[in-house]
Amino acid sequence: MKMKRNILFITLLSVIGLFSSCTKEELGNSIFDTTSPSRTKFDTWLLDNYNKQYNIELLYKFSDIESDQTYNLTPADVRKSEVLAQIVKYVWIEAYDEVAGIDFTRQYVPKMIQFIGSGAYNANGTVVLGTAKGGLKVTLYSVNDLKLDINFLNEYYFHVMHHEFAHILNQNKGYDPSFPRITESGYIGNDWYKDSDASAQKKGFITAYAQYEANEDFVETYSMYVTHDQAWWNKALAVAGTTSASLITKKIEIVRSYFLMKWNIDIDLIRTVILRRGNDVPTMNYLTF
Amino acid sequence: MKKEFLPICFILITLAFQSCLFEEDLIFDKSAAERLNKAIIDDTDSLQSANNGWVMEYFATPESPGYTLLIKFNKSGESVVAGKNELTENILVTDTCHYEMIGDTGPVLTFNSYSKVLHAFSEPDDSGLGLQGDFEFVVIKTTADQIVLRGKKRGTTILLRKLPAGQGWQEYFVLLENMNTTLFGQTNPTLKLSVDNIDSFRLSNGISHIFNLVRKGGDVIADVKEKPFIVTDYGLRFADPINIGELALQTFKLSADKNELICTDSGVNAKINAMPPTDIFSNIINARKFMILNNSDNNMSEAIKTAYASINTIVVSKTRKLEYIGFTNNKDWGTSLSVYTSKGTSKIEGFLGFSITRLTDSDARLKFNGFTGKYDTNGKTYYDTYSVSGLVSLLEGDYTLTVQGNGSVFSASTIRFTSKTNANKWFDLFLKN
Repeated sequence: MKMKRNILFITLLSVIGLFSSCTKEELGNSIFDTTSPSRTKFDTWLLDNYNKQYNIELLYKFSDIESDQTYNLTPADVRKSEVLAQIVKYVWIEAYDEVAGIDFTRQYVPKMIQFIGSGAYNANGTVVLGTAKGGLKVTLYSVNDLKLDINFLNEYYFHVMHHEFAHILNQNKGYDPSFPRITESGYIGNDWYKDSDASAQKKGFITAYAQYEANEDFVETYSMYVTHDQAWWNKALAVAGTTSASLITKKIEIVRSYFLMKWNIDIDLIRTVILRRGNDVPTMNYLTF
Repeated sequence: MKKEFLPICFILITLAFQSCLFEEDLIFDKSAAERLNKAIIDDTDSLQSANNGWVMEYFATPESPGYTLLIKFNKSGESVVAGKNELTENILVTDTCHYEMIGDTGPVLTFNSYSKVLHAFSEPDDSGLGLQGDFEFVVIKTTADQIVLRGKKRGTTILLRKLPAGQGWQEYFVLLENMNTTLFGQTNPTLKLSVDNIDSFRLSNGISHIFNLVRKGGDVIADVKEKPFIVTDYGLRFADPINIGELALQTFKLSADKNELICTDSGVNAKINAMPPTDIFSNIINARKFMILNNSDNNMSEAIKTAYASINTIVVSKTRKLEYIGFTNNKDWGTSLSVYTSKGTSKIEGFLGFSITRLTDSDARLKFNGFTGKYDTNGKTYYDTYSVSGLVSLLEGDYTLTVQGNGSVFSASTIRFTSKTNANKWFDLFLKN
C-alpha cells in the first residue's frame, strides 16, 4: 500500500515535471514566397499548353540542379526555346494524342522537359542529343543549334524525342526478352561511336548507336522507324544485306508487336502521323511572344 | 525490482524533457531561410539600382585573361549585355538574356537564358571544354557601387562596378581600347614592377592580358609565373593579387602623366613602369622588329638628313625606290643597320653590322662593325655604291635616348637619339609597322 502510494506520488511529480519543461514557441512568418511568379507571355503559353494540358513542366531556363554537372553546358536561347516548344508539342506530344488518345499521353509523357542550349560533349568526341531519366524527365540538348530543316530536325530532335519516349514506355512496361538475343554478340558498349550507321546496318543494327546495348537497340529501332519513311527503311535494309536485313526485320516485328500489344499503338499509323506533322514544321507559323 | 522500474522510468523521462527548458541563445534574429530570402531581395534591388548598368570584370577561369562586359539589370528579369572582344570579332555586340537571383548555398546570380555575349565564355567546344567560364555567380559582398561575385564552378572572382550615369556604353569600350593602346600599343613592352621603390620584377607579354612575371634577374623560363589581368578604364587589375610577403598587389591606376601605373591597394607602395629607353630600343629590335629613320621634316638633324637624301638620290638614279633604312636584330647578321630598296617585284635588303652597347638606362653607343669576317654582301654594295658609308659614319657615336610622342612611355614607338658630343646631331627612330 505504501509502495503503491510512493509510485503514484513519483508518477504525479514526473508528469508535472514533463509539462513544465515545455515552453510555448511562437511560430514566425512562412519562409515560402506565395506570391505568383512573374511570367512572360511565353511562360503563360507554357502554363496553358504544357502544364495545364499535360502536367508537363517545360524548363527552358537553365537550372543547375536539374542539369548534368559533368558537362560544360550553356542555357537555351529564348526564341529557339519558343519555337522548339511549339515543335515538341506538335510533332511529339500531339502525334501520340492523335494515335493513342490524350489520356495516354497525359499518363506517360515525361513530367519535365528540359531544354539545354549547348550540346553535351563526351571525352570521346561524341555528343549527347537527349536523355530520359526515370520516365519523368527528358532533356533535349543543342537547342541553340535549332534550324527548320527536316533532316536536321529529325536527327537532333524528332528521333531523340521518340527515342527517349520509347525508353519511358519501356520503363513502364518491358519488351519481349527475346529481343536482345537477336544480335546478342554484337553489342559493343562505348565503342559504338567508332562505327558508322551503314556499317552497323550490315551487322543487323539500324544505327551505330543501336550497338551500345539492347535497350538502346530497341528504342533506336523504334525511333528510326517512326521518323523515317518506308523508302529510307528499305534503303537501310538494302545496305544491310540479306542476312542482316532479316535481323533488323525481326527486331522491328518485336517492336511492332510490343507497341500494339502493350500500348495499342500501330507503329505504321504513328509513323504516318509523325512524318506528316514533321513535314509541316519547316513551314509552320510559329507564335511570337 | 519490477515495482521500482516504472517510477524510475518516469523520472528519467522527466529529466530528459527538462533539457528543453534551457534554450540556446539565437545568434541571428531571423532563420537562415528568412535571411537568404532577404539577401536575394536586397541583392536584386542592388543589381537593378544601377540605372546605367554595371561594368563586369570577367575572368572565365583563374588562368584566363580578363574581359569587360557591360550589363544592365531590368526589373522585368531581362538583362542587357554588351561586349567587344575577339569573341565578338572586335565589334560591339549587345544582347539580352534572362537573369535571376536564386537561393543556392547562398544568393546566386544566374544568367539562365542564352546570351551570345556572356555565354560565349561558357560554350563548350567539341572537346566539351570551351573557355570554361561561369554564368552563375555566388554573391560574396554587396556595397553601393560594387558587387563581388564568385564563379560557381571555377571560383573566379568577378567584380561588378557601377557604371557612372551618363557614360555611353560605346564610348566606354573606346576608353578601354585607348587604355590598352596606351599600355601596350604596338610594342608589347616589357615593364618593371617596383615594390617599396626597389626594382623587383619584370612583366612581359602584356598584350595578351596575361603577364609573364619574373623576379628581376630570374630565369625567364623556370621562374616565370603567369598573372592574368584585365585592362580597366583606370589602369589594370590582376585576377588574383601578386603576393609578395604580406603584401597583396592587385589594382593599379595609370598616373595623370601616363608614365606609371600606381598600386592603389591599401598599405602597398608599388609601381609598374616602362623600361628605360635603351631597354625599350633593345627589346624592340631583339624581337626582330625594325626601328627606322624617317626623312620627313623634324625627324633628323640637317647633316643626317643630307646624308639620307644623298642615298635616296642614288637609289632613284638606279630607278629603284628606297623603302626604309633602320635598325634591327637580323637572325643571320645580328644587330644591323638595314637598307631596303625595291624595283617592281625586285626587293634588295642589305645589312651592315652595328654594335649597340647599353651605356646607361638612357645612353647607348652605336658602332659600325666594318667588313671583316662574315658580312652581308648586299650591305657592302649599299655601303660602297649607294653612299650609305656617309650615313653610317654619321650614325656612329654615343647617344642619349628619349621616348617621344603619344603621351605615354609604356607603348613608346618613337625614340630620339641625341649625340652626347654634339646636341645638333640627332635622329628619331620609328617602329616600323
